[in-house]
Amino acid sequence: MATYQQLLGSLVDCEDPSVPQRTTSLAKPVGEVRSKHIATAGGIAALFAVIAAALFYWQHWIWGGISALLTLLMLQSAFSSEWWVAACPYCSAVFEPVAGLRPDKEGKVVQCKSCFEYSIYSGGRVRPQDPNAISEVPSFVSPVFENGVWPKGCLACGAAPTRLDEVKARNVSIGMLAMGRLWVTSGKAKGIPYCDAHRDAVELKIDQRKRVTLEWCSLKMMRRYLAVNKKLGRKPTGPKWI
Amino acid sequence: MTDLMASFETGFERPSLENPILFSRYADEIAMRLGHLYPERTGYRIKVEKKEEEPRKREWNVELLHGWFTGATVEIKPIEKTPHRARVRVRWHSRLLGAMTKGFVILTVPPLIIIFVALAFTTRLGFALVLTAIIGVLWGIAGSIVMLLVARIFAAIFGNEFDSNTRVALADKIQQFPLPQASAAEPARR
Repeated sequence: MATYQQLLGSLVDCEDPSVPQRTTSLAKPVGEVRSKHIATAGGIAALFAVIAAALFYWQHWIWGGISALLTLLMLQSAFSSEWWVAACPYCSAVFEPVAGLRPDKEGKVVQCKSCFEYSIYSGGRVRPQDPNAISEVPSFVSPVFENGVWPKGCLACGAAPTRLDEVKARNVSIGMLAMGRLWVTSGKAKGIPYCDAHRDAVELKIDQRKRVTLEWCSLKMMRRYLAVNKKLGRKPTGPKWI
Repeated sequence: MTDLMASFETGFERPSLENPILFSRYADEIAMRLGHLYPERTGYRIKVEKKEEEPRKREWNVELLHGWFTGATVEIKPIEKTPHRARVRVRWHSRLLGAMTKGFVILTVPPLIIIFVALAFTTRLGFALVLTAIIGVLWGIAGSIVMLLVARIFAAIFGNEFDSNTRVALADKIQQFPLPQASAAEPARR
């Protein structure tokens, strides 16, 4: 078990990572992006179709009808021309069609699944989100890194840390509960640096698929956490999933 | 409908880590000003309750009670999607309702534990938990309705000073109280 001094010593100095000036425009999905979207939505539609067929076979007309309706909706979604995509201003990865970018969605904030950076659609362009953005409740999501380190600074404001906190998370699996089993997943993060004035600026979350994430109040500190762990070659736990 | 009228939205221009502490000060400010309007020597009691432990469930309540049977609670609750803004509601409340709620919770917990243990022996743990939760929720809803009815009946018998008109007027008055502003020199607090 790490001592307080060891945890304090493991904090890493880190500059604010740079923010690109680049902006990108919206475009209709084509090529591989479109094929992938059609395959995903089509696959879900096929699944609903099988469920609908089974329900109709056993004469559950209402549930079968609902499943058939969902099949049609997924098919409509697969071939809809309403979807838009854009490149991430940070890493040029493509935001998926389901990210919800649309010309009429001014102010829409999206997160890149590759680099985890936040961007905003404003003035007809997708541009980096204000790196000093703050939220009163933890809302900026980052992955948890294997053997990850914390940046040296209060995770709310960046000031010199004066204490180290820990956060815990617990999740009850609803799927298992439906089968009468109580399946609890828990997690803990230690050595979270704060100044005297702040606390609870980071939350640990475990979702129903057992994916662990951190949620931050300060985008600036989240970006420092990402930068310092990427620089040290740490890998996000699990696949790229946010 | 009255609840809608006895409420208003307030808040700050943009998100900031200081906003929760400013809402907390706003609750103190409301309590202080209500103290002038409803002095303690005339039988009013004002209490501020701050729920600040969980960032997503922050809430500040100012209780204004007169005797056992009438009163109001000023509830300041950040709006979920824009937590730098908050809805301020003036709800009916009474000391009797508060005492009954506390008693109900204390008396409900042991039977629920017994029900859970009994169910756990007869069925799977997950089902026991779900069933206990369902029983607890239904029992809670029924209990809340009964307690509110009892508290309202007592208020009607002994005099309900904080009726809907008074609460709407109180909400209008509170809306005029200034929201504390962050000072530039002051360091940000939680």
